[in-house]
Amino acid sequence: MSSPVRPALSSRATLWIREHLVVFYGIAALMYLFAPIAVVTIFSFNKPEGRANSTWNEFSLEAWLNICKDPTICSAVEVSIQIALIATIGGTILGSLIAFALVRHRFLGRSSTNLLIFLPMATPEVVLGASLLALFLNLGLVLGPTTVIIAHIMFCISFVVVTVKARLQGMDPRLEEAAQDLYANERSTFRYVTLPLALPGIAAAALLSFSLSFDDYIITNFNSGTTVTFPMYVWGAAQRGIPPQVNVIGTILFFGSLAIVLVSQLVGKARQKR
Amino acid sequence: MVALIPQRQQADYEPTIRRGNKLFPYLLLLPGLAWLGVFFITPLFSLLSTSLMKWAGSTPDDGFLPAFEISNYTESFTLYSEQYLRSFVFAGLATIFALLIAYPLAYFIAFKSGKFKNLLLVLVVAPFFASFLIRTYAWRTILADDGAINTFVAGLGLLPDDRILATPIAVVAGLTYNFLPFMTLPLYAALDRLDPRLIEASKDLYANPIQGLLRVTFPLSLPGVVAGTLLTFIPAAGDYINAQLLGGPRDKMIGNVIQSQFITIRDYPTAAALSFVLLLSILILVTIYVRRAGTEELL
Amino acid sequence: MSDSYTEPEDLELIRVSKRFGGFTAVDDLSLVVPSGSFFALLGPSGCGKTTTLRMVAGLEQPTEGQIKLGSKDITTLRPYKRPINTVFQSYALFPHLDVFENVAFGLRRSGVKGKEVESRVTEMLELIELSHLASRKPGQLSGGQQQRVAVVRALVNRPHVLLLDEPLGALDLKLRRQMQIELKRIQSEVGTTFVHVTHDQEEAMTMADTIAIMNQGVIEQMGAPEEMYELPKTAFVANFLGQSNLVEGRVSSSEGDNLIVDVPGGQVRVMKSRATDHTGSVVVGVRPEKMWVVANSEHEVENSVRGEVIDVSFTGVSIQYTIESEWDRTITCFEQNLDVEKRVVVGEKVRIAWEIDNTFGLDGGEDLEAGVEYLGDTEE
Repeated sequence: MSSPVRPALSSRATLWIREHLVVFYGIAALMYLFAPIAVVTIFSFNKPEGRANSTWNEFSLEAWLNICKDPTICSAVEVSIQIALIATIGGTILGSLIAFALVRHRFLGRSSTNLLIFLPMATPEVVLGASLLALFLNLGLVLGPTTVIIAHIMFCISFVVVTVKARLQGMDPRLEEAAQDLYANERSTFRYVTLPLALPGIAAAALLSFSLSFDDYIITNFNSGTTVTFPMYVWGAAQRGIPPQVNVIGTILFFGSLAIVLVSQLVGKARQKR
Repeated sequence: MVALIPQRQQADYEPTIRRGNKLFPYLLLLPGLAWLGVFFITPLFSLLSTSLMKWAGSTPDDGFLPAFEISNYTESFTLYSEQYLRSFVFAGLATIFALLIAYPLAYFIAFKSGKFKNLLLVLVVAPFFASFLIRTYAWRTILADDGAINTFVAGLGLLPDDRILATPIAVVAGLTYNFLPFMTLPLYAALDRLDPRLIEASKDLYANPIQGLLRVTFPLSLPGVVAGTLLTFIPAAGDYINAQLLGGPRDKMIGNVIQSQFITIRDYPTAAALSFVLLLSILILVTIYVRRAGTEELL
Repeated sequence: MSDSYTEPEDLELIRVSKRFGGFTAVDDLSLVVPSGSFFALLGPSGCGKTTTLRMVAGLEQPTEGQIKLGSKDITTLRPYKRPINTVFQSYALFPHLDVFENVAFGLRRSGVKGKEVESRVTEMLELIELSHLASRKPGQLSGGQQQRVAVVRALVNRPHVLLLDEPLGALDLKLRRQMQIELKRIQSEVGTTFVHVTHDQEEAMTMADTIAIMNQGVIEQMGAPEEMYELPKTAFVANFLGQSNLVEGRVSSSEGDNLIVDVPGGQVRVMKSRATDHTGSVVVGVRPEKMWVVANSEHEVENSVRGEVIDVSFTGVSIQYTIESEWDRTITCFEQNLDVEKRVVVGEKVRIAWEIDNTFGLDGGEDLEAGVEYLGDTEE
């Protein structure tokens, strides 16, 4: 009995390469995505010669140990966090309410509402920032943290609506019927079925809002007056030379957010099983 | 013969919605929509009225008077047409490159990633968590004149000036990089929804992998392509950060102009007119594009 | 809602209609479901059976008509105010709650105290033998397990009526048969009124005490399974429940208890008690399994028809002949697989016979194709 013929070594190799071509590409693409992050992280451990942190000098933990060496960095971070927290709360509440109305209720003007939600996402930040500035100027308002918060809530709403809406639409409408069939009135149904199931979407929307707000530069720059947020600090420093402490904060931001997302994914998986 | 009874659509089975208060949904909508009405719609009108104002004196610092200066528009258009064009070209190129890079990546995640799918999705979005400015600035380090990449590419003789930074190349590269997640996610969503058995069916019907891609996969993923290109092109057209950090003095985009007019020069009418022209041209381009692509439904 | 009741309560639908815009899903429907019975609502997709069920549950409001439980009018009551529970087609188990909490849900919303909840839920889980999975989430259960949880989630509340919306549709054949027996057993043990909606006629006939066949929003016929099967009153029922051979004819005379009906090629005799119409044009029919090929047996020939065999199918249990008959219609005949020797072949000219008692008579205007499902018809 003859053994089955195996294709020649070279053609097996090419087959393997072809099949895994996409995999190689995927890995390469991911490396491209993370290149700047890697640079930021590495250079946070650098002790720059002059002001500019652009060439490697020597390894040092100084930036990590002394983050607030320049106190304006830390106050900028603090301002950004405060603004982001308030904007997140505001945007998430307002946006979630709209999402619930869109998915679970009947009303006139549904397509107009969808359009109104979509428009801010389609408008360039320059125009959003500029128009708000025009409004504040015409109203004679003082530019500061409040105007920034107002602006941030505005652009967060759209993203919250889209995120929560997606989560609600993925929910089996029969579940709410089943709850009512099992003696839960409208309020109980919301409390025991709808809300718990929507919560992951709302949490994701809140996280998204927080990052958008914290990281925003253009709109903030137009409307902040003398207030300095973290991105504004970075921009200003970009001319003079960015101190490694900025890299430290960037690294913390990145790994911190990554950790939060990964942990929440694991928790989600565990809850499915428990 | 079973009579032709119209089948009830799935949509007919709407959940038992709170019947009591017909006004309830409007209460839910009111706060958020009011906020958008006051802080999104109204500012656009503010911007419009500002764009039509005229100078009170001979310098911007003298203030402005309400007027109907259409000349603000025509002047901006002629004076800065170069920057407008450049913005759309840069944004267009960045969108194309982003599509070329993101499509195989999205394909990889949707079809070939197995149990790592969720992890990979997180990784694609992850760079988004680091500060936009810091990331872009990092590219300055990577593409630095004395860095490995610049030396390598310059050595190949491909660069006219022997540098990448402060050239359009760097700006487009930065734009492509920064908006890549916006292109990847909608592509992934569209590809993920594809039934892999359709590809199998095409193979059964004698299509080779390339034909399968062009004739089955790509057309079916078109809504994702449209969404991704829009989400990339629109913010890219209005961006000025990449141009500022990575480009040279001749690479200014319209965003830079608007920013300097507003913040530095403080010629608000001109700045407002420029913004409106940008907004309108984007709207026009988008409408033409969406009509041609045939997908009206974006959200 | 979770108190046990002592009085028998019939479920009554009185002239109930449901319209969605221009489309009438349920048309002037009246029926009584006797307390404690296993009632099946049978019909093809789109016939209105699910809509009717939802109106009983309170998930839809009738456009017209009344629904009563015993002496109480429940037409306008919200679903959470009705002592009625539903087993949904897709089970609708709450994904964020474990099995125990799913089953306990209705009890908790009704205000039942913790200890009692514990004992009643445990009792139910033991009934379906899933106590060991009490802390699992629905996503971790198999289809059959989910289905059983859905049933006890409803039953634990001791509803006055249990509604089942095609609950066995997603299960494979063997599991479905098992669950049919399970459900029937549970129903006879617990004694609750069950209203079971299905499009599977075999399922309805096996499980139900009473079947109502629905078509395009109205009830075609209602009765015990055997009675409906042996004596259908409309062509739809004759064709939907099992199979029938139908032919149009004219009553020419009567002979004692029988009517003589002229049909193309000859005459057919039908008992007057088994015919809906005694004069003029009528439709007569007989089921394939009641017929036999004349040459194969010694029975006396009573009703018969001639034809040519165009197909012979061997199903193991029976042999199914398709015959182009002198009625100008194709008829089928199922013969029990008794005698291997005397099998008929394709092309042979045969005479098919059946007893007069097995003929049934329908109104003349009936559509002979009503209730027959063809390949081209759309699936649900």
